[in-house]
Amino acid sequence: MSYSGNPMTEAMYYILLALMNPNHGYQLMAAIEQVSNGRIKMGPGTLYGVLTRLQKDNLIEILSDDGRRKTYAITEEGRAALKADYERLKDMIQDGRILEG
Amino acid sequence: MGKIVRRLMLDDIYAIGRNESWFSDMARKGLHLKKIGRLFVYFEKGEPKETKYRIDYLKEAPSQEQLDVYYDCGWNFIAKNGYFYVFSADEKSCITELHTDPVERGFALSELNQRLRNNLIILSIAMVVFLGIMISVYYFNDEPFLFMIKGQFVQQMFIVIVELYVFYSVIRNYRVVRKLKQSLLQGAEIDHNQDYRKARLLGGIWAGVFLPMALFTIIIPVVDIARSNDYTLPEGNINLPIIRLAEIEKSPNLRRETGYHDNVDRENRVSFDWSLLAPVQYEIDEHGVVNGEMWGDNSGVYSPSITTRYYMLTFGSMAENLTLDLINRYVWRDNSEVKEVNHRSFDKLYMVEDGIRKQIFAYLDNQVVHVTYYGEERIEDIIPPLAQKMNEVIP
Repeated sequence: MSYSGNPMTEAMYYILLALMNPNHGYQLMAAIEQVSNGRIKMGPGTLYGVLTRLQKDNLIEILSDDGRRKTYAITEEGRAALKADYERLKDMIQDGRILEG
Repeated sequence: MGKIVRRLMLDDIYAIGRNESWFSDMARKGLHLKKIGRLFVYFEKGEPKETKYRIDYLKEAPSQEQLDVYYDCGWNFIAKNGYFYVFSADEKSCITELHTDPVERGFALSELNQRLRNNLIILSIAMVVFLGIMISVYYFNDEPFLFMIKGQFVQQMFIVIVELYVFYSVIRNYRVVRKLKQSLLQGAEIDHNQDYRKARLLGGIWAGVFLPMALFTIIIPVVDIARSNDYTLPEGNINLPIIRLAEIEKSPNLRRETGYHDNVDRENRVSFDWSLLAPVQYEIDEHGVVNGEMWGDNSGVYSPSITTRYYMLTFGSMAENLTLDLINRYVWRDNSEVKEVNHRSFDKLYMVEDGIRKQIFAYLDNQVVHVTYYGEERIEDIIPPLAQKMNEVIP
């Protein structure tokens, strides 16, 4: 199932966000926790499931692979998708203003 | 290392929640998952421990780095079966779940779902072709009962049933995965403590029925080959339910006419065969020649022959249909009159005469006999001795 601009899952959004800085598996989980201000603790199964899918959809790429460790980075396509979803979320927040006090 | 204990894999690996729950219960009894085989699941005996298991579907084999990350997160890789990988963790540890996003998991299973659907389509086409062949073999056969008895009918039916069961399993697995995928995409988590007992019991019953059946389909042809036997008909007395040429022919000058091939006299041969529906089948030929005597039309030296086909059936109810099939097969000319003869020693008896070719078709209980006699003597004369022979067989 290739990415066709649907709303992203939370896991996908944060992995792309964390990969704005190239990173590898274990540290990526820490980075996600960090960018989400500790809100998201991602399971390793979910992490690798999403990484496999994003790579197939060309939203991320492997920057280096020394056989022991793979370093992932976001692609141009990934950036564009992330930006589009960010705009969508921003619109949603805007539209939700009526909820504020 | 503890003792290895194995259990039959009675459930489908696709039933993720049920298997996780079963493995956890086994660990609670001190049986820790070690390996998943095709037929068996292997456990190592040890201390009872509260363990949680998670089954992950991984299309691509995980790299060492990936397994290391899982391990660092508290998840140990235990065993795999195809694309399914089993991980375990101590129940009491407060580690992150293996999967934290059901929708993402649903995406992964969509791919599996697609693959299973393609398999199902291909298998469905194969099943239609297979069943079509099976049905047409019997439906378009002029002598279906003869074919059933001579052929491997029971075995073929077993194969059909086993094939249908395999087909059903593929449909069942497809539906399980589709349902799981749908519920994950809707954000529902997998229930890791699903009840597995009923599914395992049912699986056990199915296995109990189909494994012996599958085994049977392998054994039957072997028995058939082992039991079928060809040998030369002895000249002396034999304990077979047949009429000998010497009992019909009056001339003392009757001699055997032989034709050896591979150490068996093809002209005077006993051919024994076995099948589940007819455990005793004989086809016995005998050829003779009377030197100094000519056929009635002076076409050559008088050389009578007799062929007896004898079947002892498992089910006597097939006797009538088999007799009719034999008539259909061996009465060649449409204008030959098939005469039904009332004889108290047979359930039914038919006689057909076509010049020197004279035939008797008869059955008694579960015995069916077909005699073809080429010769100048009267076929009626062999009815009483034939009746005697067949009555001797009945205990």
